[in-house]
Amino acid sequence: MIRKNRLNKIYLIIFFLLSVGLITFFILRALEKNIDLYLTPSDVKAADFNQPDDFKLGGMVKVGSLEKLEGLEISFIVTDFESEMTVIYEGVLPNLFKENSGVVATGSLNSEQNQFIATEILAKHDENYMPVKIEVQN
Amino acid sequence: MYKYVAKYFIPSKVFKFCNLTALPAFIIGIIAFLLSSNFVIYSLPADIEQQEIYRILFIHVPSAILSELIYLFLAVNGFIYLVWRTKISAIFLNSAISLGLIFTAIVLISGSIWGKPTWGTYWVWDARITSTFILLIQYIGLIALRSSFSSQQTTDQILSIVSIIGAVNIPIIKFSVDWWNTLHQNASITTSGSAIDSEMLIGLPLMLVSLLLLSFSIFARNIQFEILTRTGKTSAMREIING
Repeated sequence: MIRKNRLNKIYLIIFFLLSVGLITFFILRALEKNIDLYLTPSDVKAADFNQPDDFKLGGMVKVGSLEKLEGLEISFIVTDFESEMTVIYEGVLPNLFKENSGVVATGSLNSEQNQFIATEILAKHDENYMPVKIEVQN
Repeated sequence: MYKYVAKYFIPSKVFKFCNLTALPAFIIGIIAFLLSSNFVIYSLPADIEQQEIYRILFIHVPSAILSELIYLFLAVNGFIYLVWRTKISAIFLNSAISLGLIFTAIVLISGSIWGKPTWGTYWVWDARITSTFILLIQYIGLIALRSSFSSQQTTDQILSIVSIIGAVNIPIIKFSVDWWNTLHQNASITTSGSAIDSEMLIGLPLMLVSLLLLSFSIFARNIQFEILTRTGKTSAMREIING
């Protein structure tokens, strides 16, 4: 049997922890847009979008959209399966960058607001791990 | 229940237990660590997407699990100390902080090394990485607090309160990849199964167990140190050492 004063202490700590949790929850809710690492093409196409400076654009590289332009320049389409956005990039690509795989690009929109000029490309891989051997057997 | 648990957690008994198990745990842990490292590096197949670099997972993921579990351990001990005033929970709390710091540092460093060849960057301020970085700062803060007060009792109380508050960060780390969009991928191992192929998955528990053994041995020595410094040069201390 727990003594009364100990029980009160337990209630106090639980109440305290719940309040701290609730405060954190509201802070994180308020900062939601800032904690997100990137915007999706839908966010960019939305009517209230207004971000003239650099931002990050993320999504999947659309299958069949990757094109080589002159030199190291490439173009591809980032999709979130609702909206799409064309990205132009010149530079070195990370190893895991490929079609039908995640990507996060840093850069800004061009003056016509229809293309995204990237200055940095990061690859986002999924959580699946498969041994090489299985691919060979197929 | 309190009566039955409490009689096993008297400092002198814990000291004896730690004295007995620390060295064997360390030796077995080192051997297990070397064997399982060898196993995950040479025996497991490479990953389709990431090739050989994915093997860093076997140090990254167990350390991440441990860094979070150790923090929960601190919070639970802090809770018990605040409610029941049991000295041994304060000793456990003090002894585990440095271990948590080590594992959090390993997570961040190994993740950084892993990030460069796969994502293309060492560091990005996404929710998972930032919240883990905050965990590192929490551990550093706890270590700073340990030597900030003149009385042992004040230190223990403050450490308990701070570690309980800080536990709020643990679910944030865990669910950060679901709540916000991040560069870090979602959890591979969930209640609905593992996205890591079963052939590769076996390396994970092996590494986790060997790291657990190693950290237990360090933890046990920390506990002994903590008990000795608390008892001071008294006859009680001589009794503890001589059994």
